[in-house]
Amino acid sequence: MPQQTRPSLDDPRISIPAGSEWYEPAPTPQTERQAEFLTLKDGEMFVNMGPQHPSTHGVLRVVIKIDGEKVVDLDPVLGYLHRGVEKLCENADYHQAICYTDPLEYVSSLFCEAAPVAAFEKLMEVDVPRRAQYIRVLTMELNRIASHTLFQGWMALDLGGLTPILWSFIERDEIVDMLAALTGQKLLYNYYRIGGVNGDLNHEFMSRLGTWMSRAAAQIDSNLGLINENELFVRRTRGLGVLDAKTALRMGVTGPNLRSTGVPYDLRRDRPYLVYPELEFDIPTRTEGDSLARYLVRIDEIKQSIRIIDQVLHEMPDGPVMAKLPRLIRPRPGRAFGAVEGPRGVYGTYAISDGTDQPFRMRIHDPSFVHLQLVGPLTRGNLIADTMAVMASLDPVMGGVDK
Amino acid sequence: MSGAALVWARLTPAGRILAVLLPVLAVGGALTTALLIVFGGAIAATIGANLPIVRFLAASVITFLITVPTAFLLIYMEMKIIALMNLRIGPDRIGPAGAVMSIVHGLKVLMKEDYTPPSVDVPVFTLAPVVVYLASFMTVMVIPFAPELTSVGLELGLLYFFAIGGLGVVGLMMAGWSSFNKYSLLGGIRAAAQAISYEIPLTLSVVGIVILTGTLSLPKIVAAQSGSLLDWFIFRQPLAAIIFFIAITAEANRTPFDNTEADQEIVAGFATEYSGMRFGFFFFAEYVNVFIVSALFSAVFLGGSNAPLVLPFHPEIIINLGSLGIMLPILAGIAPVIGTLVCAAPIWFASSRIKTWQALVAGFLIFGGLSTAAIGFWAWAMIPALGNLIWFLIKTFSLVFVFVWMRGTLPRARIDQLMGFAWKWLLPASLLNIFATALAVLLTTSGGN
Amino acid sequence: MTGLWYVLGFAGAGVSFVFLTIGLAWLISHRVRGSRGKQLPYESGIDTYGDTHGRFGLSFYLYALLFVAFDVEIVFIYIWALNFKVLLIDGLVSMAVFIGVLLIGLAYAWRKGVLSWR
Repeated sequence: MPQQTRPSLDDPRISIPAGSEWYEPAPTPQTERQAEFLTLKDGEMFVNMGPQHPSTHGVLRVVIKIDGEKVVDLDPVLGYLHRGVEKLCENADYHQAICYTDPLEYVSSLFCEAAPVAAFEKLMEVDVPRRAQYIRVLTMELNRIASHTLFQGWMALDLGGLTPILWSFIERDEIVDMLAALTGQKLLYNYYRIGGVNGDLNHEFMSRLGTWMSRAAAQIDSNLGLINENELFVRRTRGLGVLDAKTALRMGVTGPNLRSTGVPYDLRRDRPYLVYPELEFDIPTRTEGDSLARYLVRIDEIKQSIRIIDQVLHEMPDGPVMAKLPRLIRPRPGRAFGAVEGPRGVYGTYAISDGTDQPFRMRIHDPSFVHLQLVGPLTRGNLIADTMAVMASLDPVMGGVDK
Repeated sequence: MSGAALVWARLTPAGRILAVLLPVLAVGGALTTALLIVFGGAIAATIGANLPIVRFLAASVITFLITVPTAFLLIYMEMKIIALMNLRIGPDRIGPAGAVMSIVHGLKVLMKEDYTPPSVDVPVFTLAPVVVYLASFMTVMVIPFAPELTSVGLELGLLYFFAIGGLGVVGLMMAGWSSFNKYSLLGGIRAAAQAISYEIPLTLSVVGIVILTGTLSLPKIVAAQSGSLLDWFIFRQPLAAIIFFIAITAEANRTPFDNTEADQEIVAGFATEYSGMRFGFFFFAEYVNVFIVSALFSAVFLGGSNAPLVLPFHPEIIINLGSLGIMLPILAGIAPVIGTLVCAAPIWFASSRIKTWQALVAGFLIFGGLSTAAIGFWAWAMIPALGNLIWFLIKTFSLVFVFVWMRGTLPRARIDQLMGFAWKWLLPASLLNIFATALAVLLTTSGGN
Repeated sequence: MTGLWYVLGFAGAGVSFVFLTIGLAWLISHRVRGSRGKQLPYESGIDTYGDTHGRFGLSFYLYALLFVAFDVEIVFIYIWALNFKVLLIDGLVSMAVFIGVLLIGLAYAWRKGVLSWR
């Protein structure tokens, strides 16, 4: 039991007596690790970052133990956005489950739909029409660009730059408007259906997409000039929070964070789904594994996504966008795992069917949750400002972490 | 209940104060005017007899008049320019292009709740914004706006500037320590570390200029730069100018050195627990500081009130209004009308689609612009102080624009990079600058002998 | 001497301006005592835990010590700079020795790692 720590509510200046209804005793450590964390050495203090803090993405709370400016220890506290999505899905039928998973990672919600849809389609053993597959690839890549441009601005904002986030929102806004024209919603699209997509491409979407594609690459490149060529930005991120490939694989890191360590693992190539095997694209990797590499890998991915969209638009066949399915989805008993490669890593859904119209069990794997556990090891020993840079470069979204 | 009591009951506290204050002010104003008319001669004689007190009063009033609108102007500039850089519109609701926005902001801050959390150290907590504001307010008094417009030409002006300007960090420390908040504490200590680190290169970088001019008085330093463009110290001491610019950016806590209030890390830094007018004074002092450091840079390195080009001709336009006699009031009455008509006529004749009143309005605006320009040109030609002031303000506000530009462009430096840069690069560079200057002076002097 | 009176007068004027404004704000603004949540120090919405006014990191104080050394140096350097045109070569040599000693100190601190943040 640590004894140096003193809850400041006992401080006479705040004067909350022990009998008062407002009095909260000091937390008692539950585990050995927690007891070690709660023990303060000389000159150390705790600082809460979050849940009401300008820089934590969403409602993450990070308890930082600092010695001066140095971060001695760090403990992310989760659960401020917990909704119990997995349990909600078990009490909904298969169509409803998709819209519960939608708000998990609200900046890239098409991927959160794609994973359960893939799992349910395996349960139903249904073939998705080719046009629907192309439309899914097209919209997912668009959403990937939207998510990465937001990341790019957000990273600069967490390092103190004001302008990049507004510039990158120009691209994101255009994509979001385009998808809104297609799906009717700006944030949570709810577009994918078991066996296809909800509605064919419409005229407004195509004309907006054409206009955007004609200038996208040049526009994104010019936005990058403000960040990539900035000495301060590069100096603050290079060599910060270095992640090596072995640790990354052991921790279950996926996506750009893994590829920045030199492991070219991408579900689109390694466990192909939809029409990805027919498309040509590179998998950008870097070997440094630091915050700058994580940033640059994402920037390269934007370029590859534009390349994919270009091919998809040229090769898209005609045909139906929805397979013939009964109105009430009632798969045979069994289990299936569906996964897609999202902007943050692998989104997976494991669903068990017991033959009724509701999933018996549903588990969601979210990359943000895995990546958030890296914040501690990567930040320990650095400065307070580096916590924000590392956290921004890992790019967690709290909706997915807390589920 | 009578009508007056009903009205009184419906008033807000602010309205009640105004309802009492306004009649008192009106009566007081009328009385003062009457007294001035009756005893004006005697008062003028008394003022003439006690010149130093009058000078002091004028100086302090003018300093107030400089700081308050300057801060508002700077806040508006920052909002609008950063908005344009962000491809936003920025303030556009109050006044033309949102120009009155910052004044309304000020009034809003004045009327907000000024909360004192029970855990703070109240006297220190209240005194901190006073110290921060004083540090910036008292440095305005040595700024040489023009040779004729320096409120106090202290002999040790430069040193005074650094001494008083350095006091501001004491206020930030006080705020950080007394707030009983960890973010505030971190912000205050960061402010102290940063300010003391950059104080050294800041003060050392101008030593070269002190060697060259042999004085610490700001008006004399400005006078030493009169002449051509190449006499400005930015061309004679370029290294010092670079060091000085970086150091004042850090002293004014501006991006990329705004670690003391890095909102992504420590929320609002030392000002986290402040609200209402006490917060307002921190905010106010920060913007006055930006103006002051820009003014100091333009005075020391950009030639202050000296014009970059000295015009070869000196127009002398002497207008003797007295010689007009009775024609003066008649001209003053007729000239605007005739001018407006003359300016409106070509517009009226140009197209039949332009209505008469539109032509008249346009004519009035054109005449107003022309006459203002003419009077301005006359004043610039005949009153040297005005021209000097305009040059000084142009230079100062260009620098303010550079600060705002940096804020819109750059991310923040980390604290270890910040401190390492001050001690490992700026300090040796400023010492090098001193010795290079001393050596050059030595060589030229001995060569002359 | 007028300079001193001006400085004092300005200080008085500034202080009175600040206090008048704060007083005016106190008159026209509302005040609510508020709940416990309002009275606690702000720490991202979580009750603060541990001592705020405890001992603090060492690295800041090392810079403060260096600052004291160099600030005293500045006092001498300004007087020297004002009279440099009289002192000339003697002044340059003696100041070079003075700064040299200080620079040795700075180099020592640099080598000991004081200048890189810990």
